[in-house]
Order: sequence, then structure tokens, then C-alpha cells
Amino acid sequence: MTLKDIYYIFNLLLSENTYISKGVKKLKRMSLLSLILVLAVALSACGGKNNNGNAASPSASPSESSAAPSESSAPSDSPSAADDNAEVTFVFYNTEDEIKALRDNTDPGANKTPLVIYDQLKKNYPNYKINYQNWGWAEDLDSKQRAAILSGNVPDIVRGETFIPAYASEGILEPLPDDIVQMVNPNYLIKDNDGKPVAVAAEGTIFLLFYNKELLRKSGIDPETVKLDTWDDWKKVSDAITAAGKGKFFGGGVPSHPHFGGSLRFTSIVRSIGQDFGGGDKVTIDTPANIQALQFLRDMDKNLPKGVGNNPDEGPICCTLFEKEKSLAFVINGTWAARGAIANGIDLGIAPLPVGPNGKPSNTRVGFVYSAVPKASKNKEAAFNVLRTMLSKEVQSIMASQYSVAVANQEVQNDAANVYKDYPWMQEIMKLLQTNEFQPLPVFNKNNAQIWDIINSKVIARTTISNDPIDKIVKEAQVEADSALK
Amino acid sequence: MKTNKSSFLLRNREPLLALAIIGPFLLWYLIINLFPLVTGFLLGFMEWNGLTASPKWVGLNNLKVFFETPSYLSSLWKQLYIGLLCLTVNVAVAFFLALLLNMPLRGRGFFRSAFYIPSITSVATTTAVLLSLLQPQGGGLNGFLETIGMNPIIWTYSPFWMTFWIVVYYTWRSVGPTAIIWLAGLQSIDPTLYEVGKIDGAGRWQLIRYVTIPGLRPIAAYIMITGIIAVMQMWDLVMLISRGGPTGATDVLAYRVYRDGLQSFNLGMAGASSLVLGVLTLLLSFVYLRIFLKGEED
Repeated sequence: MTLKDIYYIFNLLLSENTYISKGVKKLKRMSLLSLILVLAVALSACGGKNNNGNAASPSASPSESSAAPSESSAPSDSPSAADDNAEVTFVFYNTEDEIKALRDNTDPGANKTPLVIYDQLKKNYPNYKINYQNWGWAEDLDSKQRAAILSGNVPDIVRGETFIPAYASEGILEPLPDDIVQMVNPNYLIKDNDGKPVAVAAEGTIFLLFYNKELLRKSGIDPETVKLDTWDDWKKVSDAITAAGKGKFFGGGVPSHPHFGGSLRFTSIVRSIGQDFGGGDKVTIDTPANIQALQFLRDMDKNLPKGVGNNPDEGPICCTLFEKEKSLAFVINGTWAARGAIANGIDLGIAPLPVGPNGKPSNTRVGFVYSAVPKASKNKEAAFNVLRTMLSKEVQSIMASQYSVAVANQEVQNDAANVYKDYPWMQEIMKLLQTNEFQPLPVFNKNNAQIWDIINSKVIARTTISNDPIDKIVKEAQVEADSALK
Repeated sequence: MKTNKSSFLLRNREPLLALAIIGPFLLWYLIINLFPLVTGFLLGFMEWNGLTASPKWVGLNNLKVFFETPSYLSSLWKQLYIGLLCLTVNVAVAFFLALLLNMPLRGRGFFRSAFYIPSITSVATTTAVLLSLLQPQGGGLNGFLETIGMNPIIWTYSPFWMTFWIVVYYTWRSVGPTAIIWLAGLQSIDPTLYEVGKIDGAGRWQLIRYVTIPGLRPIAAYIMITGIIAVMQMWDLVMLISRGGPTGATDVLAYRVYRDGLQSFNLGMAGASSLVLGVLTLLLSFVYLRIFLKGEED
């Protein structure tokens, strides 16, 4: 008896109107209840650690339900249509205690944007009871939010980076009011399957090519006139620096870390020649453009010390070799890298990412922390008011001018020369964000993380770790990714 | 009525007392262990991403996908062989360590504590130390190799070395508690058996072969079964040391369950893989017990 036969018999037994079928239906109902209960227990057990505990759950207060708009009603565009005393559960960077502690933080490099938002919310909505929640990041945050959504104990504002597009495509997020959509650069929005914006990031950036001008000079290259427009331009310069460095310093290349640290950067490069990895129901790995870009990745890896570009740890490239040891000429990084480099005394050069043959400028959204209001929120209007405050010109100007954050607000972006006068690289970023449409990494409908694992470790990292033919690498990965997406 | 109640309490005093003692644990066990176990089992027959409120019943489809997908089978194989390596090395090293700790050495108490300490340290912290030693540039191990005139090794490129370091780390962390259990077993063997053996002319190896090893059979069964369960669940140190790399060479099934479940939110496949892993663990434990019991009967 083969597995197929067992499967056939099992399905036959489960067909309509058998006792087993009826039993299974009961079992399904029971199992659903069990799942919800387990997740609810897990959430209360895990979430309690970070809960500052000074606010009731959103579903606990009768006043909330009276304040809540009906599920079907569209939120109004004007601020403060909500109850003045609304309670909002806000999944945020920090808990209230952690935010307050920022006030006493004397570190000049500390990013106090949560405190800026907190103070403005206190000013705008003094009677709101905002329950600031810190549920961690990445899968920790994702799993807690999913459990909360499922158990009905839904936060009024959810948060996240890579998984928010999945929430959007599941249709669980409330469309953003028009005034919020108009307030921000479209690059900062996530849309649902109907094309309606449902999530917005208060901040987010793209990649730039940072370089140490001193190492260029040491290699006989004038950093003020250096041409870094195309892959070829960059490769020639980087090769020359590696040759001049004789093992003491290196030109630098495209990182191929076996995780999103690799794919975010590589995708930014490969998009310039029209290649992407698909998205939705399609994954595209085995393409001539990808093979061409992977060859460039492999060639550029020779300009990195062996084992660094594809190391699971990003630290050696950005922080040890580039910033501290000053033995790496080029790094691809987000705008956050500039502050560290300057603080370490690097004579910093900045350029947009080079483009491939006959290519056009390309990039990938990185560090976008999206916020959204779930449809099941009982305080949608108040939640949108919180988002309005976070995205307001007052708050975003401070975030930009004091903490060099790449903010979403269009008015602030239009005033980049003024608000970013101390941060010239931010003006460069703003120009790019205002004139281009950048996408996040694509999201696959099924096994998204597994497919990215394949791309990260079995395509990008494998290209620089092994000498395997690139066409073989992409073919094998395509088969595996297709199988995961089925 | 009151008398009836009192007599009921008096008559059932012992069972009620037992229930009062066991009850809280039983409740805890039901909520924390049994309920998730049943839920995980059921998830293996469903398709669900944790967002929609209605999981879809798909019968045996997830298991079919599991057995038809080479990468799942490969992960299962990696769980088995890396787990077997970890188990064998740990049990063997712990046994010899226990023999040493059983000898009348000076500072024996200190060594017993010292070997136990790694097991109570944080996995995240100690793997971070290991990773910093393995760094290709400026890592402690490569620095040492260069000092003695050898070429540095890019550890993360090699499936052999990454497996090696997983086994080394697992053993370093687990050897202390295993050695203590072996030691307890060694000390429970009647010393007169050794004296009789010596009178009969047995050497050191013969004493180990004919007195120590047979005397340790029940302890060995405990160590092996708990060891099998531990290595079949091993994923955290794989995630922290190699992330399943290089290119999937150490991607054990338990780590894949974590990624399927909490990164891809393919809870059905996570459940199906857990089911396979659970059944296999039961099977291995059962086979070991059969062999052990057969030996006991002989």
C-alpha cells in the first residue's frame, strides 16, 4: 500500500455524511477553539513581560465599545472624531516607562524619536489613555500580534516591517484615511490587494554607497572626481583599491549575508537591470539577468576579505572593517551608517547605488517600520489620530533635524535642505525618495520566509561561498522555491 | 449531613491529599504540555497562517508534501545524523569524565561544579562567544592558527566544520549534567563487586567491562532516552551557530519547524514536521528500550 492509497482511503472516509466526517467536523470546531485558547494563553504568558500594565485591554472597557465606530463605517478624514477619553493599545518601540527613561538619557547619539512622539501625543490628546506596548521585533512581534488578532484581544495599532504586507494581503487592516495618505510620500505606504493604502511608515530609508575617501586617495584615486555610476565603474575602482591595499585594506563589494542583510542589498543592485525575485504566486530566480547580477556579486566579493561578505554576522563589514579599522573602502548601507562613520572620523563620500549595464537607478526600502490599524480595532478613530500625530509636520521635523531620520511627511521632505542641513547624505536620500518609486522586498503568498531562506542562503550566499556554476545554483534554487510556493 | 461530609473527608483523606499535591501540577501539565501537544498534532492536518480565524482541514496533504519534498527529507536526515553525533560524543565524553570524577582526586568537587557550569549559562551568550572565536577576520581561533604558522580557516564555508562546532558546543554544554548522572550510577554500584573482581584477577578494563557497564544499564537507559529526545528537539543552537548553513548543510528539521511555524506561518507544515519528528523520537526510544529490556532479560 502506497502513501497515495492511504491518502485516498482517508479522504474516502472523510467524505460527506459518514460518521467519521461528522466527527471530524466536530473535531475541527474543537480544534479551532483549542488553537485560539492556546494562543490566548501563550499571548498572556508571553506578552505580560513587556506590558507596562497601566491600561486595561482594549476589549475590557465598556466605554471603548461605545466609542468605537461600527466595523463597516469608514473613518473620517479629520482628526479627533474619536472619544476624547479613548483608550488606545499602541504596539510601539517602547513601553511608557522605557520612553520616559529616554528623557534622562544623556548619550548624544541616542535616538529619542519615541519620546518626541510621546510628548506630542500627550500635548494633542491629553485625555487619551495610550497603552504603549513593546512586543519586540521580527518573528517575536509577528507571532504575538497574530495571536492577539486571533484571540480577539486586538491592539489598536499594529507594527512591523517585513510581515506587514502579509497582513495587508490578508485584508485584516483598515484602509488609511485620505488625509494620512496625502500627508506622506507614497514610498512609505503599503497597499492591500484592492490597492488601498492600509499601512504607513513614519520613517524608512534606502541604500547608498558609502566610501572612505582616505582609502581612495591612498590608492591613487581622486575621491572628488571618482566615477561610480555603473557596476563597471565601481568594480574598477574597488579592484584598484584592493590591489593597492595588498591585504592591508580592501575595496569592498556587495554583501551576500545568508539572511535579509544580504538579499536587501543584492535586490537593490539587481533591480537596476530589471530583475526582481517575483512575489505573490511567482518566484523568479533562474533568469539571465539574475545570473549576470550574481556574477557581478561573485566578482565583487573578491574585494572583501575572505569569509566576511557572506558571514552570517553583518558586524565585521559595517562596523569593524569600515568604521573602526578603516580597512574597507566601500560599504552599501542605509543612512544610519553615516552617523557611525562620521563619529569614527571617516572622511565620508556618498553616492547612489551604481547601476548595471543599460540599467536605471534602483533600490529597496529598508528600515521601514510600518504601523496600521486592524479592522478589528475598537478604537479606530483614536488610533488614526495617533498615526496622524506620529506623521505630523511637528513631530517629523524634529525626527529629521535632530535625529537625521528619513521621515515620511511630504512637507518635511520638501524642506529637506533646511531640516537636513547638518546631514547632506539625507538630502541625497530625500531627492531619491521624491523622484523614484521604491519597493520593499517582494512577499510570497506561501512559505515566504522559506523562499527567502532559499534565495538568501542557496543563491546569494552560495554564489560567493562556493565556486559552483551560477546557472546550476539558480536552477536548483528555482526548483526548490517553486516547490515551496506550490 | 455534616457528619457525612466529615466522614467522606476522613475516608478519602489520603487520595484527597494526593490530589491536592498532584492537582496543580496536573493542571499545569494539561495547559502547558498536553494542550499544545494535541493542538500541534491537529495542526499537522490543517492549513493555516495564523491570521484567518478558520484553519482549513487538509487531511494527510501536509504529510504527503513532507514525504514528497526532498528538502524536508534532507532536514530530517540532518536532524538524525547531527543528533546522533551529538548524542554519541556527549554520552561517551560524559562517561569518561564520570570515571575520572569518581577517582579519589584532589579538588574533585571543584571539577564536578566546573563541568556543570556550561549547562546553566545562556545559549545566546555562549554561542556569541563561539561565533566570535570563529570569525574569519580577527576571530580567536584563526588568530591562534596563524600564530602557530597555519592558514586561517573560513569555518562558515564548510559543512564539516559547522557540524563539528555544533557537536562540540552541544557536548560542551551537555556533558556536565550527563557526567553527574553517570557518576550517580557509578557510585550506586556495590563496591564489593569490584573487590570480588579484583580477587578473581580482573584488570581495570575487565572491571569496567564486567562490573561497571552492567551496573550502569538503568542509568544508561535514562541517559540515552532523554538524550534521544534532546537531540531530536535540537534547533536553537543550530539557529545561533550556523543558521542551518552553509547553504542548508546543517538545516535540521526542528529548525525548519521553527521557521515554518513562526517565520512563514505555515502552521500546517510545522505541525506535520513536528508530528514526523515526534513519531520518530518515540520509535527510536521504543527500539532502544526493546534492546535494553532484551538485554535485561538475557
